[in-house]
Amino acid sequence: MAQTFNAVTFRLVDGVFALDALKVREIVGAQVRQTLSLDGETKGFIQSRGKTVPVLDLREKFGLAKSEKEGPRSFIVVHPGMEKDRLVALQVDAAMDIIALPAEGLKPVAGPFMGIPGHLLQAVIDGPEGPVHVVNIEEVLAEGLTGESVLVLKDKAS
Amino acid sequence: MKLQNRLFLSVAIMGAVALAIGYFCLQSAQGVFDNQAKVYNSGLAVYHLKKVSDAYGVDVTGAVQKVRSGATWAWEDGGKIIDEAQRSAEDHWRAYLAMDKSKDEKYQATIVGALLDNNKHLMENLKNDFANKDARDLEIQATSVLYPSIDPILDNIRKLEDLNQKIGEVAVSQADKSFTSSSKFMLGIVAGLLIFGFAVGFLAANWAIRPLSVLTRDWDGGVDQVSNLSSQVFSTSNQLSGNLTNTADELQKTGGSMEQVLSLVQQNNREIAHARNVMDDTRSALSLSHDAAQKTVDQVRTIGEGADRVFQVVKTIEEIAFQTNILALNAGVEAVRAGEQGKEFILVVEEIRNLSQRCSQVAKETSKLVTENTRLTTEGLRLSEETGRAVSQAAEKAGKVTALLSVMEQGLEAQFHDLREIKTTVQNSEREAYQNSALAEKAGTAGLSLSQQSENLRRSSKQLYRFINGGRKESSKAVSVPVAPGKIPVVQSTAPLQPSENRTSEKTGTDDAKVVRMNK
Repeated sequence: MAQTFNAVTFRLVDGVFALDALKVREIVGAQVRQTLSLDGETKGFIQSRGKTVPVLDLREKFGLAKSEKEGPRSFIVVHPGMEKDRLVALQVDAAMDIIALPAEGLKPVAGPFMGIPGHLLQAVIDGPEGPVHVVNIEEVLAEGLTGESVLVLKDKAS
Repeated sequence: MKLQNRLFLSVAIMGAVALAIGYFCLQSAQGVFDNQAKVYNSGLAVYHLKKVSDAYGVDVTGAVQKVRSGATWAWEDGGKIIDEAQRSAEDHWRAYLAMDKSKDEKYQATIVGALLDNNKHLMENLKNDFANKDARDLEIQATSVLYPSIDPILDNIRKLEDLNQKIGEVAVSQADKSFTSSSKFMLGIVAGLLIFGFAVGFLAANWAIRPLSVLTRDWDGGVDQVSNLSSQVFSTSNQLSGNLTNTADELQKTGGSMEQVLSLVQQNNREIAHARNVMDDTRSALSLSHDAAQKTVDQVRTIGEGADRVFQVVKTIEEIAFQTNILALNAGVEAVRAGEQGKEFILVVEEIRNLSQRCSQVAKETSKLVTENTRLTTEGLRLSEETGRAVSQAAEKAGKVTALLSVMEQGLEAQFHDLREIKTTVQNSEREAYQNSALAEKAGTAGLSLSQQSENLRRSSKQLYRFINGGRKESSKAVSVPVAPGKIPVVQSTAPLQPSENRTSEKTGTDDAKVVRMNK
């Protein structure tokens, strides 16, 4: 029996990406509360099950163009590593589905995809709507995300 | 001194001299005639006396003598002869007595008359004797009465004859003397008259004739100028008449054109009034269209607001579908985390997700439709608003056009009145031009008449000049008058202008004369 792992797929620009479902705590559709940040990556915070979760814009993280969409966004709340209390909300264009990906179908990423550095992508697999790149969440969150560095919270009236 | 006074003085002097001469001549002639009359009277008296003398001295005595000599045939004629002699003597004596006589003659005639009266008885006796043929008584009468009574008669008659003879001789002598002195006087008078006549003639020539000659010469020159000027007047008047007639004709044409223009202006005015009415109707229609467009805009706006509400509902549905999908995804995540126990739940999650996707799809499609509808509505609203603005602008422009048409209408009305006045003025000008043309023709006719009269005057002046200057024939050519530049040239001919000719003027290099129409 082939090994499969469940992944939550999401879209960024024209590409389809996936995250390990076991690392996903929640998918939230909410309005970002804007705030100042020191590291430049933190966009704001959202509420997830009573907790305030910092937001990380994957477009910005991957070096893609900023999204022009207004209104509620899709956020995938993940807990990197074994620290389940430390949550990060990844801002994506749209959370698509939960699919089961066969392990033997995973291939290593040949090179940068859509300008995204290769070390941020774990593997690539052919999906029903085209290649699906699996995101290396640890690498993504290991670069500069310090939720404790946010010192000021400001609510923007929507 | 005036010419007439000079002439009057000359004539007066000559008249006085002539009267004096005539008086003296008459006096002389009267003397001659008187003497001649005296001579004639004396001759006549002698004649009558001779007859009386012959009647008694020849006839009576002859008849008696014949009878005394024995001529018996003389008895019958004797009485007649004596009767005739007596009658003749009485007639001649009466004639003599009727004549003028001097004092001596009268005295002597008285004597003779008395003797003749005394002799009447004798004559009667003689006649009786002859009738009775009484020779004896006749003899007695003859010798004792007749001869003694006749001789004194004859003597006294002879004396009268002598007196008259003497008177005649004296008269003849005096007549000769008077004639001689009159002749001498007449010669002197004639010589004086000749001298005086020369003097008067010289004075008259200087006083009257020479100035008159100069005057006639100047007059002739003046007449020439008048003739030339009258020719110019004639030509100019004819040309003016022609020009005025042309002007009148052109004005008539202009009047006709003005009539057409007036008609066109009237027609344009009517068209403009009609256009104004149409524009008013158009503006009203546009105003209604604007109201309809505005209502359409309001309706479209209302539709747009309804579409906005639908869009909001669709947005809500989309959000619900989105949240539902999120919820389904979360359920899926929990199902994955649940492992084996969550497999069944994953199917439910799948169904929920399918449902939410369908809902999302429908919401998206509806959103597309609403968006499209909104776009169309917005477009329609924009078009309606544009239509409304266009209609409003069109209505505004129609109003401006109507105002302009009103102004044009008023302007055309004023123009019509002005054109009508112009037409009236043109008609008046045409009438005046024709009148002036007729006046110019009259002036030309007057100039023609003047030219003819001046020609007559010229002939008269030349005749006068010839009369004054002794018959030298002047040239019959017209005196050429230099034509000033710019003047109309004069027709140079010897004949006076004729009205029936078409006159053309010779080119002098200054102006070209036109053919003058004499008759319209």
